[in-house]
Amino acid sequence: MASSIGLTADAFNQLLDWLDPDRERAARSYEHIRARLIRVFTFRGCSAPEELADETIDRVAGKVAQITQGYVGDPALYFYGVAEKIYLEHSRKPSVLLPRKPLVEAKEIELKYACLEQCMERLSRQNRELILAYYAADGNSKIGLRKQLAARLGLGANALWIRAHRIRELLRKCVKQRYRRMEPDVLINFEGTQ
Amino acid sequence: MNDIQHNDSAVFRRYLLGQSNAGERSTVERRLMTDREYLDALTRAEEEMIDEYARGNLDAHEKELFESLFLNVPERREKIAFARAFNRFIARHAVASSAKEPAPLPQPVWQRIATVVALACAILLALVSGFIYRRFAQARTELAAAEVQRSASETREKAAAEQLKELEKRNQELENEIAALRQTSPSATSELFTLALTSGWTRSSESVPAANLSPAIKNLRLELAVPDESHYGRYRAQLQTVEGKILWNREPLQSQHASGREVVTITMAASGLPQSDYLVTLNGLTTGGPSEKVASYYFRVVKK
Repeated sequence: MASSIGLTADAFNQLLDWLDPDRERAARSYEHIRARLIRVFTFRGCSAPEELADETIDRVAGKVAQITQGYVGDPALYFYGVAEKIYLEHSRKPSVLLPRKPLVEAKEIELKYACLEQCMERLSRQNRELILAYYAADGNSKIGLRKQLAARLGLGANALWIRAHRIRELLRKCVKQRYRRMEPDVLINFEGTQ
Repeated sequence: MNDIQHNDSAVFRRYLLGQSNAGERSTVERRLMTDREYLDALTRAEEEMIDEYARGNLDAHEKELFESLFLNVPERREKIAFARAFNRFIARHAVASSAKEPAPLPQPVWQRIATVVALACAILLALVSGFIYRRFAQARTELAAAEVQRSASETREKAAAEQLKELEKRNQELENEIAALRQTSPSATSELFTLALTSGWTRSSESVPAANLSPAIKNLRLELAVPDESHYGRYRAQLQTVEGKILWNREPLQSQHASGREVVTITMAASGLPQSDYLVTLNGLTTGGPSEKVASYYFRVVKK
């Protein structure tokens, strides 16, 4: 379980007690809340969403003794209220929104494409065919084609997306790892051929 | 989940592009903090938007909003780079695989456990039935081996047949292209005028690319630069007057790599083009779906 840097063990334990008397469920609840705070800051376009999520947690943990006395409701929503304040504070700082970086470059796409071909080879036949069929659908025909695919596989539309999305995330992580490994030497060679 | 998608897709789109007002934004975020399915639906909408961007399907305004919010976050930049590679891969490989039905998914765990239990029972019974079982097992093994062999053989045959079909199709396309080129290509290079076009010109631009066609020019060849973000395998080109009258239409056209970029080349008779301004529209052809506009190019014909 990840805990933010500014949290003392005592405050962290108090926080977990507030989330749930059962320590295991409290730990899961903490992880869910942290993950969702990161998503909120990401959706808002913040360049360091993890840091802001941890700052939110630190702020809540610092007041947890007061909160437990008066607050009624889902703790996640309390965290969200604090997150909004943190966002407002940081949006006033000029460093929050970094200058926009250049668009993704063609050479990066080429290298990642090569990594992707290798990662695709590691998928099972079923998963490879599923992901090709699912993401090939585009435009107006997308909904109909995906319904047909879901019916063929005996899945609901949401279950089908979750399955396709998980495979895609596996591929993305595989590509990310391979790209990192190839970066130092291959990038130099690639530059040399320009 | 379907209810979430149908009711909220417009809300998600506004939210993801930073266009929600404070109330709507708060409603969305409070719900995603507490509702797993809602978070999934929003994640799905985000993934689809990244794919739209990677395929060049966002309009100019949405593209600007998207870049201002998405390119600022390292994880999202990485997702965009992946989506571009991924969509290119899908575009190149989906044609071959779309003809095949996806293989059935692996059995759920409980079914596999049930299978194991059933096998254990069968073994127990087999111990009791002794000789009869041994004969049965032997026969079954032989049958299974034959089945595996037959299945492997069928798979190989099917793959080879599909490969052959694909090659024949490609061959036919190439023959069609050659035939079309023979009909339209001039007999001598001096009779051909080549004009390279990039998208982004407007008719009001001062220096619209012009084809200066002398009477000796028989054919006009246009080299249409395909935008970097477009990764369609096949395209349709349409030539029309600026008044909207369609003069020429052709598909499927393959892009080619030339001078470090992808171009689609079309050739047409110069005699059919009086002095005027023209618009060429390039559409990407998708698998089983409608074509999608990739770029448009203005040019001018000047007769000497």
